[in-house]
Amino acid sequence: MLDTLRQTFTDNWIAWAYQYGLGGIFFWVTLAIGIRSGALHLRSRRDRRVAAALVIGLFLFAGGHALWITAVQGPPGARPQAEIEQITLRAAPIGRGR
Amino acid sequence: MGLLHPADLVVIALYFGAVVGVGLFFGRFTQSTADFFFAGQRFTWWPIAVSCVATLVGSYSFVNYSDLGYDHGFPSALYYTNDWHILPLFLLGWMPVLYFSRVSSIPEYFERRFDPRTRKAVLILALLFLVGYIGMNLQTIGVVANRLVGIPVLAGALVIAVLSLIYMHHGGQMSVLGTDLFQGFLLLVTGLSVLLLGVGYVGGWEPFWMGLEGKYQAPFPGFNQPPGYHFIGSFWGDSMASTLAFFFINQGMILRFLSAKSVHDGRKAMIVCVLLFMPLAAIAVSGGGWVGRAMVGLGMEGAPEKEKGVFVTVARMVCSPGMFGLVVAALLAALMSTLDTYINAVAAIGVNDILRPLRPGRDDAYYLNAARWIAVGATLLGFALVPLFELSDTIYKAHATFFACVNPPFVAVVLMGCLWKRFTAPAAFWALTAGTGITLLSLQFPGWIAPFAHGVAPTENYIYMRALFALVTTASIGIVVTLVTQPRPEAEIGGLCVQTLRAGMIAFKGGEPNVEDGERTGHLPVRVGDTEPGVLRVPVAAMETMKAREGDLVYLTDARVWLGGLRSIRLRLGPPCAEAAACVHEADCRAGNLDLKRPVYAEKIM
Repeated sequence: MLDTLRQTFTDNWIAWAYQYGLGGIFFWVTLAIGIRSGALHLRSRRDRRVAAALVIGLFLFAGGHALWITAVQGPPGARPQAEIEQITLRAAPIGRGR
Repeated sequence: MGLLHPADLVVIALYFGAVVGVGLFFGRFTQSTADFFFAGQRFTWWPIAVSCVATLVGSYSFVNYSDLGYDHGFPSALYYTNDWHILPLFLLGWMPVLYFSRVSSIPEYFERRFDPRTRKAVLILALLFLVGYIGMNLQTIGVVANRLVGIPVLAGALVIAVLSLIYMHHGGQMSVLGTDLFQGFLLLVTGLSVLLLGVGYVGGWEPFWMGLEGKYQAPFPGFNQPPGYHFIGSFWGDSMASTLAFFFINQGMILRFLSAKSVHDGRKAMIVCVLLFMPLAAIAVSGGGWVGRAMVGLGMEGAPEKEKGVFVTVARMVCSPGMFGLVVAALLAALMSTLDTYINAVAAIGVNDILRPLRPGRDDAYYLNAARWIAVGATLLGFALVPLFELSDTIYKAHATFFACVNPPFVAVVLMGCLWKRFTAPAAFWALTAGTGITLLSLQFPGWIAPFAHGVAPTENYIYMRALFALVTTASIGIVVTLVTQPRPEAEIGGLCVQTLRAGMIAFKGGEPNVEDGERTGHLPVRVGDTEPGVLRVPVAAMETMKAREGDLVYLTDARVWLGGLRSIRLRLGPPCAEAAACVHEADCRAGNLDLKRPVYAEKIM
């Protein structure tokens, strides 16, 4: 396990999975504790909106980051970041501006 | 005049004038310690959310994140966009616990939840942190002024200290919130303008995107490399330690959220702040660095070099005279907004944790006056530290390193205290002190951190992964000591942890909370008289609209939404009145700054 962890990871999907996997567990557990404690009354429309905003926000961040990674390096396993780092710039210098 | 054009100086002078003017204007509404520390708990969600941006974007943000953006590209935004998972804990746990238990400072929470011994330990740490941080901010301001205008560091620091004090002394949190609201907008607009002007400078969005090709376009850095900036370090060092510390134990931020008119508005403020303003702030503070990196990628002549400061170099290239003055004003805004927040935090701790226990029972005017003079003293003390920080970089670094070691154990203790009702006072004390001690020792024995390092190279001394080590160590000590000691009876910790939150809500309201969904009333004229102090009377129809009953807590505010609650007050609902008006006592009308010629509306809080 530790040997595996000592490897160098550069793939953005691993970071994404860690962020929303471990972070997600933290999120859902604390949300459940909050609801069970009565901090949110799900009978109340106002509190339901808060709960919905929290869940939607999580999916917005996770979905946004996933789309972004897909746009840059493709779906998981398609093109590791180490390879992306080797890309040579295609753009030619375009002048000096002001 | 250093780097500045006369037009820049005019803009900066206008900025200073505006900040002091806004601060003095909001300060007019400060009449009590509740106003000075919590802005009267009257503000709606949006002034809190915007003002948080100004406090969040700290003294180094533009410089540091632009450098990070220059080195790593878009992953520099991660620090401001990796916090969503901590929100339920803050919104459903910590914020309501503090709000309903009417805790006014973090040390006070530690005494009520644990014991006086833990409060004293926390008080010392909090004051060391805050006063040191005021000094660091003033020194940074002095250095910025020195580089831009050529005046001595001490003189620049003194000017900013005096300007901050002019409005802080007057208005406390009311002024801080007002000025931070103004500065929050300024920071976002200016930072985003630099990015847009920079994109235009490199030829548009397509060349900008191509100039950042490769790893610079990705949202995350590598998982555990390159050394110095990697995902796993950001997750544990920033998101799970620094951000939690920032929102959970930073007295300045706590006071800001306690300034909301209700827990619900505090929640809305935080959601909007993290969902909308923090990503915008990430773009604003990193944009200069991304433009610089794109210029390098495109091989443009005159592309910035990191040694010369990426943000200021890019801003100078892309901004016209006057606009660059606005950029400098935004830099100063980032510094001043953090500074005034911490000055207010010291005043709150000074009054609530030192003066009130020493001299209890005085009237509110006495404590308000003391708060104003403690604010002056904190600023002077911070200013006195500037030459010390100037003298030796080591002292500056020692302060930062010490609190990087203190924050994770502090966070672990707060989380356990908030989430676990069995967590005992001896466990809190020993987890905090021994956890901090072991974390400090790990500076000498970095090998201890290796099992937690997730493959991060030991060469960087585990500066980010130390947070995970500290969290696990502190939590372990806390659990072990808790299991061998007696917890306090549940009745003694009512409202101080999530399991006992309901008791806190009942104590806060003075009765059973009314959670039935209601609407705000329509516009009503204000009538003075025909009621007792602290009581609001409205017609039966208005009570039905709110679904409110006699004894409920209600919020009465000027109907102009753009005031954000500046003219408002929280009252208890009395028996219905026959007149189609909101009937309040004269003293409440004065305390809420209500304008008798303007309509108001009422809203049920709980």
